[in-house]
Amino acid sequence: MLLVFGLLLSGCRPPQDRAASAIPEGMTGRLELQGEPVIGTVPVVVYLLDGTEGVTGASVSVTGDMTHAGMVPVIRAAAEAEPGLYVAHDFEFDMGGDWFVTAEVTLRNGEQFELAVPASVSSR
Amino acid sequence: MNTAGNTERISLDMADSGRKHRWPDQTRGFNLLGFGWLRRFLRWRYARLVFQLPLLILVVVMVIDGFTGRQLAPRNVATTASWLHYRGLVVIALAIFGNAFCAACPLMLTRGPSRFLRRLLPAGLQLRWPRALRGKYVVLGLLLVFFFAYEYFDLWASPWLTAWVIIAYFVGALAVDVLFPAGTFCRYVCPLGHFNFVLSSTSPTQIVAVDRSICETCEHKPCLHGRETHSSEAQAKGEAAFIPLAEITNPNGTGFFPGCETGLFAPTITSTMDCTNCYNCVRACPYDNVGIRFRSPVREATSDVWARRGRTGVMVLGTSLASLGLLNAAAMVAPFFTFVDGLADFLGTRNEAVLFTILFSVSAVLGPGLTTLAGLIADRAGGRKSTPREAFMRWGYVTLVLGIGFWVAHYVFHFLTGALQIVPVLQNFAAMQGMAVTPDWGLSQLVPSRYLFTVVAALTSIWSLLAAYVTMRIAMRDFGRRGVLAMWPMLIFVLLFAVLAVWLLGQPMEMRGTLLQPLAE
Repeated sequence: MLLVFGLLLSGCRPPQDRAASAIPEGMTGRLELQGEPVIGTVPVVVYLLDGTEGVTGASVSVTGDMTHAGMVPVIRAAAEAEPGLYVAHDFEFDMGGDWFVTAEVTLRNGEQFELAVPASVSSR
Repeated sequence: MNTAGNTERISLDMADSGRKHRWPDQTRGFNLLGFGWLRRFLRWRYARLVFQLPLLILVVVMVIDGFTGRQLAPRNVATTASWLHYRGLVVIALAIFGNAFCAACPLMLTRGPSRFLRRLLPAGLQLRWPRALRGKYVVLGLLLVFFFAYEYFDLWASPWLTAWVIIAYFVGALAVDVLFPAGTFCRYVCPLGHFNFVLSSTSPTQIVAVDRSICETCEHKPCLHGRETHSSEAQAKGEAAFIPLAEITNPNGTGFFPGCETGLFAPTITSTMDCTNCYNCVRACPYDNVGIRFRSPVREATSDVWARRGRTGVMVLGTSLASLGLLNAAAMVAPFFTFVDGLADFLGTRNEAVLFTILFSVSAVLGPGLTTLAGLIADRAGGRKSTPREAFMRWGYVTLVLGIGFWVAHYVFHFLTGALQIVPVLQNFAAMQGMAVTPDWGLSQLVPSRYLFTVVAALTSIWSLLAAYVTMRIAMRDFGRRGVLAMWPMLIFVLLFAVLAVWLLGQPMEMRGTLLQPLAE
């Protein structure tokens, strides 16, 4: 069993994460934490540009998942602060460990895509 | 203790019908199969398939999602169902009933293909499991490899690797049962099954013979060897002893009914060790004489059952699992990472493979070692100069019960935290297959966070109290009036374990994929 397991592992690579859909062509997006990843409130900022213009009227939801299944996700809405800038002021890490922060973006025309960054939150 | 050996001994016992048999006492609690509808269902040839098929479908979904779905553990069926729901439901079932997962194990659906492939093998390739590997040390080694792989490769965080583990498990089960007799995988190889075997030691049910006088006169022992039943002997294929349909009490069809593939003889079963709850014995018994009786959760631990079956190897497995359980949980809290940093500095290496190997090896030895030490002190206090093995075999049951309680508390914690997550991951899987479903990622907790510590502390306390009771029973059984003195070292051991367990469970979790450095810096 171990031999089979080893052979299988050595012959393959993990696939790229298959997000809901890719960012539309011509657009750029970036997700950033506003501050060090620590337990507590850490605002999340999402930048969305269509060419050089800031994207307006998008709906942005920010979700924090731990890398282990079963932990309660942190889900917050990001409000539009100015064209192209969306902020989830009340986003918080409630536990130390490895996280993935994902922004689910729905544009005014209904198109959807995701942006994600890993974060290692230390409780030490 | 091999199947052939058991069979031979039982046959010798039975050959002399005038000699009083030496079967140990079995529990006389309420027989679940007293419910006619349940007995008829379990005696039905395809009863096990009813439980296996839904799990097989789930496994297929897990593998597909593991390979093709989101590679984020909480958003994938493979990781969520494996590392959250499977483990949680397994320990809950073990605590309130018994080894339900082995009963529904979809891996055993490889039995058909393995029988077919075995017929194609040359006679020389149909092997017997080596006698030297028949203890529980191979399984303990595999469990250590499994725990190591879980932490080192972060299996819990990788849907892709989890899917490969599932595939490897199926291939492994098929390969072992093709090359070796059926049941070899369950009895000598399967780490998950043995985890369940150990934890079922405090389960409230076990298989028994309802009326053992019937077993005394039973000629063929079909619960062990299987039987073939047809209306006439001409239809028999010679797979097992032929018993005509007319002789079957409450007939349950015709054909071949396999016996116990792990070599258990129903009227002698006193331990759930090696029992997969497949209910082959229930179906194969021509006299409808096999039952599932309730028992005290400490019956096994206070009856010295492993002195008769499994002996030292089983006890080493059971007590190692207790300390490995503590390590498994400790690897999720901040003080552990501080400790490992110190260990890495002390050893002068930051190689995680080396550090994990040391941690798991030491942990596997720590359970049996500390049990032996405390047991030797207890024996001395009771006025007995025992050997380390004698002390270990006497008191190991105490550590076993403590370990079971900790695994139950730990896995129940995770289950209660995220049980509802199965809904959005299945919704997400359906959406990825093109269905118009929107996952509700907000679904997760079954019990609010503020109650979780109370629940797990209560579970740990219940099993700690059981362990204390086991300590007192063993002390009074083996030391008589001096048992009052002998029990104290072990009671202190129980208390220290319980305090450590509750402290660990009360720590804020810090789930990290790396021992020594953060994921992204």
